[in-house]
Amino acid sequence: MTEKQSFDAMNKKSRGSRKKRDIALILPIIGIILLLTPVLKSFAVGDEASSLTSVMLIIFGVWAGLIAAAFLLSRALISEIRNK
Amino acid sequence: MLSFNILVSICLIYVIILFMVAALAEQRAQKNKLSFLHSPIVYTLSISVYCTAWTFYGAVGSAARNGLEFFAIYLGPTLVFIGWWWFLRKLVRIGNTQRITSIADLISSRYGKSNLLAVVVTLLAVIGTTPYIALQLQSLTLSFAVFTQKNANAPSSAITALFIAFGLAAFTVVFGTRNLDANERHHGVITAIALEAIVKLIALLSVGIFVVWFVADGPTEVLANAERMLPKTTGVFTPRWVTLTFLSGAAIICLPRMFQVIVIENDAEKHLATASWAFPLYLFLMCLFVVPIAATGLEILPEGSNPDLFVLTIPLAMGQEAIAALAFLGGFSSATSMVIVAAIALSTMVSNHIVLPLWLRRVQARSPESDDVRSILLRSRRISIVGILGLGYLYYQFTGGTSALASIGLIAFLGVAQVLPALSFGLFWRNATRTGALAGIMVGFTIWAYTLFLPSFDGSFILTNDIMENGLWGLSILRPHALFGINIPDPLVHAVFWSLFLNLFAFVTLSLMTTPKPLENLQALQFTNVFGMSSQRHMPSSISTSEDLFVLAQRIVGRTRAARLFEQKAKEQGKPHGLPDPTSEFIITLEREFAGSVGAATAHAMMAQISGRETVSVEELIAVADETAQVMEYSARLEKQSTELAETAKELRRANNKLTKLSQQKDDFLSQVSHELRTPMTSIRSFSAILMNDGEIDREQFARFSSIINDESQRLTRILDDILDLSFLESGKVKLNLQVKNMGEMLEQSITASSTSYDMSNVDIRLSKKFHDVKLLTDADRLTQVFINLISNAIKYNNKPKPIIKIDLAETPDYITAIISDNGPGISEGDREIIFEKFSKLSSGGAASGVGLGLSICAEIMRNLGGNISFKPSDSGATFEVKIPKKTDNHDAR
Repeated sequence: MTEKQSFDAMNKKSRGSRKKRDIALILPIIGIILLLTPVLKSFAVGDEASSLTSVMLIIFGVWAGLIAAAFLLSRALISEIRNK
Repeated sequence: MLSFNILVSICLIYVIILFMVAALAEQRAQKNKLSFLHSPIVYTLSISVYCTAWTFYGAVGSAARNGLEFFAIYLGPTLVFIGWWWFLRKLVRIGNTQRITSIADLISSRYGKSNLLAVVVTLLAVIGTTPYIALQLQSLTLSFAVFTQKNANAPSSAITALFIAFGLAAFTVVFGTRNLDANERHHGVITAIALEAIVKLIALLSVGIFVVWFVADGPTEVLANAERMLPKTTGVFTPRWVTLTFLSGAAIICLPRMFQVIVIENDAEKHLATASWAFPLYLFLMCLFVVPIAATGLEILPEGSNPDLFVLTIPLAMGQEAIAALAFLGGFSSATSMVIVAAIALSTMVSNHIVLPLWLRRVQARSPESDDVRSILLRSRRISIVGILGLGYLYYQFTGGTSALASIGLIAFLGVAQVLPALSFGLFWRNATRTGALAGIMVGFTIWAYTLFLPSFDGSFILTNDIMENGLWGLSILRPHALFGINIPDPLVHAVFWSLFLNLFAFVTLSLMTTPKPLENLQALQFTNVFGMSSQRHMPSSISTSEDLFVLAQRIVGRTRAARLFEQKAKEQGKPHGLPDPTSEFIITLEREFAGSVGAATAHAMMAQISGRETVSVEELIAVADETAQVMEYSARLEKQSTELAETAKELRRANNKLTKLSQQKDDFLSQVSHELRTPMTSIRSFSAILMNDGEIDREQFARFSSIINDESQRLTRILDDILDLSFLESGKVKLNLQVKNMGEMLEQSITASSTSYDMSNVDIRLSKKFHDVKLLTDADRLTQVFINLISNAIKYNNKPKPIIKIDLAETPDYITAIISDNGPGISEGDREIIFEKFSKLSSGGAASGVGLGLSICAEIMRNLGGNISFKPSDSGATFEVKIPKKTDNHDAR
């Protein structure tokens, strides 16, 4: 029984680290979609006159979001490096 | 107004502080007090060498001219860093394991340690970086000029630039060429760069805060200004935007100085984890106030002011000299840090890949061991630094002040980005070859020069205006800004598209068309599989002697370090003193160590020179081919293991059955033995009671009773004797009474002994005559006991009217085998396994007496004699084989 439990735990752990690595791949892809395609521009509020401000705020917002995500991810992945 | 002298003093004090910080860091590094120097923060800050004066001043200028486009220059690196796990980590790991010294070294090492490739990449880097260094000199002199424009005594810009170039060269030579091992961190320089990174960030933030809250009325007004003043025509999410982001992402990997700080100065992968978010954060902060500064500058400064200098001129216009001085220091830091790191990176490349190979070729005729490679390398590195700065200065002198220089940043980005396909595919694609890489880089480089670099001189250098208009040789499909007649309005997008597309095309096509050399294959495996490799195990077989190697090592890594290295290796090989054996593993380590100083290609060439061979060994080839074989072997091993497990499980089950049966037998035996002992005991007790109490017993009865008592006691004794005998035999403490005896006599004696207990009148015993010719050195009494037992059993259990017992002989060089067979009922299959076990009573032999010890005693005796007894199934009756060694030692058979 205990053997099975430890097996499950191991399985879970490896699945967890695999997931983390997948997120590490997905994060830059999300960044590319948000920053290089006009996806976000369509959500920009305001008329033509305020376009510069809104676009700038969008860029800063996405940027900050990416940095926060990278921060969380790096804390998760640093244990992987240590494990090796 | 700040006077020129004060400004120069500020600069000098700042530079002295930098010198001290660098010196202190070196000192601490030598004492191994590295806790601070090793922190990920220093690493992250050093990466900010990406932000040069071009970005420090130029971002504001770009915002004023082109709106939000400047963001792309920072978003590219951000994307690369948040994807660090997939690319940068691999790059850093390879850099560490292969002891890479520069980007040229990495490319050359990946493609079979090719020096030609290293030379090409080095030239590309020099051509791409020199204008960039000129750009830094220009922004420094421009920023000086801002303070000195009203000062008649101030030196001309050319003199200023010359002084700056001298100062930078001195600093770089002092701290950049301290260690020969380019693979080691330049602690001093890196710490100084980190300090400069803090200064430029603080400077830009201060100017930004000043502008937003002190010049303008808070963010709302600034944003309204920006909306009004900044151009909106060139915006975001356009092809140019994508191109710029891609280009800056490529630059953060490919620029020699970025490669230097990210890969070579890295000493722990976990620092990369911190930098993955901290460096984008740094860029984020650098960008925060760019738009407000640009908008405010356009608003308050007179028309025609250079927007590139808004960072300086706004505080000056507002009379804030302290802030202006801080901003000046920020720009100064940006420019100097870039130049220093770039000079270190380039000088390493030039000395390792150009100077050293040339020198090696020149001295090959003489005895190469007598020269000191170290001093050659150090000298060439110092000269290269001075040369590179001199080149930058010359470039600045020729083109300075022209608009050509302003756009050089992006042009340089695209120039070095030509190594991107070879680099990135090299990390993941095993079939990329040297020829492919070389072709790709050359094609990309040519197109870059033709479509972007040369046209940037506006017709004054090589490409004339006529060619620009009508194409080379008047061919319109060769027009530099519209190759193949395809009109892409933006020249940068045009050049990026064609150069990288054709670069990639040539690289992939030629890679597929050519076959890599063995060494290339080997390196490809090590690069693409860097996370799977345990360690280097491919070895060149050694021909060289340790003495040669030691001499070479002294020349390259220095006397003390070479001695330490060899000593440690000798210890590992278990030699207390003297030089280590030149094992393959040692040679590999040594080549790696050399590569850290002189680059992979040169190190490989040197080792090949000294060991007199350059080919790849069979082991190496096998290692390359082995990859698949290993996987297959592994799965085969797994399969075998599972079969073995199944086998074991089966055996265990059998053993378990046997154990259960044995335990059952033991229980049975115990009740049997109690019963057997109880019966004689009962009769002895009752008859002896009669004899004791009945006085009138007659003589005849007395004799009968006492004979019964005697018989029963004898039976008791026999049972107990058997049990004792067996336990004695089992314990292995039996002393054998060895003597030479004729086997025929032994058997006849056994037959006679058996016939005393059984009626032998109609039993036919056929004893082979050959036994009389056999003499054995053995314990005759014990052996006879075995025969008696077997013969008695054969008679006892035989139910035929005429029992026949055959005793035959078989002989091998070491053993005599007596085969005793009968025509009795035999032994049922189920019982065969247990007949030699103690206490076994066969299911079929219920009627007979005995407690089931006879055969187990026989087996124990034979074991003690060094032979064995076995049952052979046959069609009729039972057959026992007694195998006796021709010579028995008196040894413990266990």
